[in-house]
Amino acid sequence: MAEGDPSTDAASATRIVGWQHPWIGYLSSAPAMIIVAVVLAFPVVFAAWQSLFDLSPLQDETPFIGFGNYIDVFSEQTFWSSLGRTAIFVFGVIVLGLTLSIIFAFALNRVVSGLRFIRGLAILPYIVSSVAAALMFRTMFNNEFGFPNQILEMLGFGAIPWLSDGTYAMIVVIFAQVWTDLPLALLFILGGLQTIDKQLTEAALVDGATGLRSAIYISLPLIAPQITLATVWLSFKAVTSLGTVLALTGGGPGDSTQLLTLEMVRLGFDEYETGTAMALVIIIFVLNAALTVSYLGLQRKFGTK
Amino acid sequence: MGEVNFNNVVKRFDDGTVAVSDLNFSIEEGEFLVLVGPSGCGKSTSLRMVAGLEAITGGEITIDGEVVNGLTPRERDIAMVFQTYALYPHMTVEQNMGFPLRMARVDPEEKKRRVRSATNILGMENLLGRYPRELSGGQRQRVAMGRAIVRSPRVFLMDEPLSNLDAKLRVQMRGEIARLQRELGTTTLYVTHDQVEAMTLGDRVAVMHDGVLQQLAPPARLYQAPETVFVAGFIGSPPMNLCRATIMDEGGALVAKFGSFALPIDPGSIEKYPNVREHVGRDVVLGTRPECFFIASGDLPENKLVKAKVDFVEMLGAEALIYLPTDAEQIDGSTRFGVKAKTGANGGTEPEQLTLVARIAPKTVPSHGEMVNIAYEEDSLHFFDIDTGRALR
Amino acid sequence: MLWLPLAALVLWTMGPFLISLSVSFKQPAMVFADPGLIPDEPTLDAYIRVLERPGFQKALWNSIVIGFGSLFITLLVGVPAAYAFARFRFRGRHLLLLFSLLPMLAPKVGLMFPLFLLSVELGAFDSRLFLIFVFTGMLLPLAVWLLVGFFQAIPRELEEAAAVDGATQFATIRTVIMPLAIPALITVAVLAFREAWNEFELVLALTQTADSRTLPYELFLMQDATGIADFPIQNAFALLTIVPLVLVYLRIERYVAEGLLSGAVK
Repeated sequence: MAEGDPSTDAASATRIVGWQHPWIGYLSSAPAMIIVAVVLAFPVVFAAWQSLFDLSPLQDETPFIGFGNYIDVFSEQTFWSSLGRTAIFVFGVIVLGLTLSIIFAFALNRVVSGLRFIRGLAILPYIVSSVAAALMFRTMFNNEFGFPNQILEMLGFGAIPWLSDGTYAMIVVIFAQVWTDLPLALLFILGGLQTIDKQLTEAALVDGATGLRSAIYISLPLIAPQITLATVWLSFKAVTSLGTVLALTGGGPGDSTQLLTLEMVRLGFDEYETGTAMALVIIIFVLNAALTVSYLGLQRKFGTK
Repeated sequence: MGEVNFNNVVKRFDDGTVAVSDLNFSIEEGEFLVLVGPSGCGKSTSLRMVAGLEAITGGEITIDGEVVNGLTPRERDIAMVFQTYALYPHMTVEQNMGFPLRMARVDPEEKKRRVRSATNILGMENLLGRYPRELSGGQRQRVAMGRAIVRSPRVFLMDEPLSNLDAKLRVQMRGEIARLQRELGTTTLYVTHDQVEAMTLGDRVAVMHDGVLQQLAPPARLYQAPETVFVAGFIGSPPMNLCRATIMDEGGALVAKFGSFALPIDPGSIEKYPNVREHVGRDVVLGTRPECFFIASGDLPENKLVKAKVDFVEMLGAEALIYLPTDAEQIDGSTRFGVKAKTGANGGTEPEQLTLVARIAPKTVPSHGEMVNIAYEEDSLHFFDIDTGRALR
Repeated sequence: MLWLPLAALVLWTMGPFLISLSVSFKQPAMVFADPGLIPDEPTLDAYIRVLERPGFQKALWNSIVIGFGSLFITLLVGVPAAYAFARFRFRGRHLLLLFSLLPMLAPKVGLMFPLFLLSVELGAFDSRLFLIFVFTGMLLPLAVWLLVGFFQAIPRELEEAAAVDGATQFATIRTVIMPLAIPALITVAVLAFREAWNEFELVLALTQTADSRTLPYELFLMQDATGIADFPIQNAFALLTIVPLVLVYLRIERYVAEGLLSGAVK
């Protein structure tokens, strides 16, 4: 035990300072714990329980059917196609989001103090709601007056039917999603870059590594934990994304951007298939958790730390 | 006002480690008592128990005869200077110093007057409006002192108050603390790991090791008559040479043999450590202070000399240290006799051989590799029990 | 070579804002006729129409009530909890981690349906009070997580010094801890308020009428209500919902960036 070091002291000390009775601790944290338990934890348990019953409307009985709802979900073609679209969506968001956040973070890390305000700008999308962002992208990618098409026509290419073609609509949705969620991913990676010891990159410079090679061989491996964190964040937001897609395409055109989350809303709120919707909720939870765990696993396997 | 008593005080942490075991001593009214020891010896914990920042597991602490175990810090009427100063960053110097008075609901006019007078004593009238971040280390230290004295408490508690200052400032502030305490006459308990601070500041010094009080004595006595091997090794710089030695009776004269060396034990030393006589033929711990050696001038009898080869020399200007390797087993006072030694924390390591350090006048400095004859001053040998580490008195 | 990615970053970030701003200053018919970035005949018509809409006014009021209401309760309940997690020793302290990870484990989109059923069960469907309660639960993990970090960063010695200086525990919190925590509280308040202000999914699930609907949902509904897409009014609406946050955000950008980083997730 090192004396004078409050952190190690604190671990083993029985202190008088501070109300030392344990119930003060419980009492102060109880309201917060209870509210969070009711709002965040209870619904999960409730959904898991409800998903085991046949809760179809227009029937008097709600029999226990075990995994029947899950079997129903898995046997639906719409589930598999929306799962596939979700996979494409999540993959696209991660690839685009990571690429942009890494490039932007490297640039911001080098920025001289006069341009610091760019970091402030870069975080701006963070304060825009998903619906507002979707609306802005709807305007921007309008087939007739949208800027991407104006530029394409100026360059002599034909206009692209951004929001009326399934493939392009998916691309626009991915762009909108990345736009809203990039700030945090960018901040994570920038934070990682700022912790790198300047001497390391200077040593690399002396050893003859130029900017790009130094970035690839020295900096990137060192910020693997932050890249993982950014991946977890982007993936989490993409898997659970609803507002962006709903407000931008509503799942269309056709059902080309109908993601799992939209499917869940359709089942629950439009078709009143409560039991199956609950099963889908649980499937989304599990999918999200499994993805998060797998990124952490990947990092443990290939990461530096 | 301000007598502090430790009666069988014990501190055991939640995880079972004993930080302080059975502490018994008292701090007289107006006394400057320094608690000194290596880090982890329980000195800060003891101080914090007086402050009320740490619960007392067993025994009791009294201030002016009143048991304070159950009292909050607020009810104890004490003031404390922290190692980090713990100045409130959002308050000016004046507000910092006035904080204890504000908490005591002292009338604002009176508060102002007392803060001013404390500021005058410390000579920092021009800093009153500043914030802690605008102060130098020495100034912060002064504010912390000011916050302590402004309330005229019964007891000052100081927890390594100088350890965050640079060496020069530390000496200066040391002097100031001593002066301040003399002027105010407030009972002071001062914790430090620095023996120089302890020796220069304390009316009495309490040396702690592994939660056990080793010796409580005025500085001079601590140096001249250490009670345990630990104190012997801890007080003094460079530290006392400590090694295993065997007491031999050679025709009526007692001799301490260590490794292949031997020193006759003079009557003066035997008088100070009469128990040595009971240990003839047995092993003891022999302690010799570096400054008691001198280079023999040839007219001393052969058996009073130690002949050794100089390994290296450190020239310090006013003095020189010479290092003489021996084949005697070195004794480490901090690991051999403490609680940790008994639990085998240091078991199994090879005994190290003693490198004798002698501090000599710089006139006759031998060079590396030279054989020298050194002799030892009368009545300045120290003897300790090899098992208990206690002085053979 | 630095300017290329930086220019891309500015374009990427500001592009959608600028286009939206441009469209919002046009007459609906001119959007197609005058596709340039700078409107030929700029007009505030769209903004006036938004402000005059009863739906907007009601939603704005609801957003303010629900946003500040949930923020207030979040701080009221979250500050003691965070202080307890940071300083007190009690069983259940380790729940902090679970507490702060819950939003990741139980994403909002999955809570929509169970909470909807719960609200119906409690007779609290389409009630602002219930929304405040739900939002509080949503904001608390973020707020507590950030505040715990701030409280832990306050040196323990300061509290000990205050105790020795004669302060009661309550006086210590009032005179030492809280003044030091003000920047933290502001940061947390801004981040939490943003969450509440922008929330869409749960409002979609828990409200039905204009009496409790907040701005994002109203904006969402307006897309359908305007028939042939009235782009200027939609963008004016969107920008008006963003403006209050931008104004606050610009003042404390540095704290927000650092607060977000220390919060790590969420």
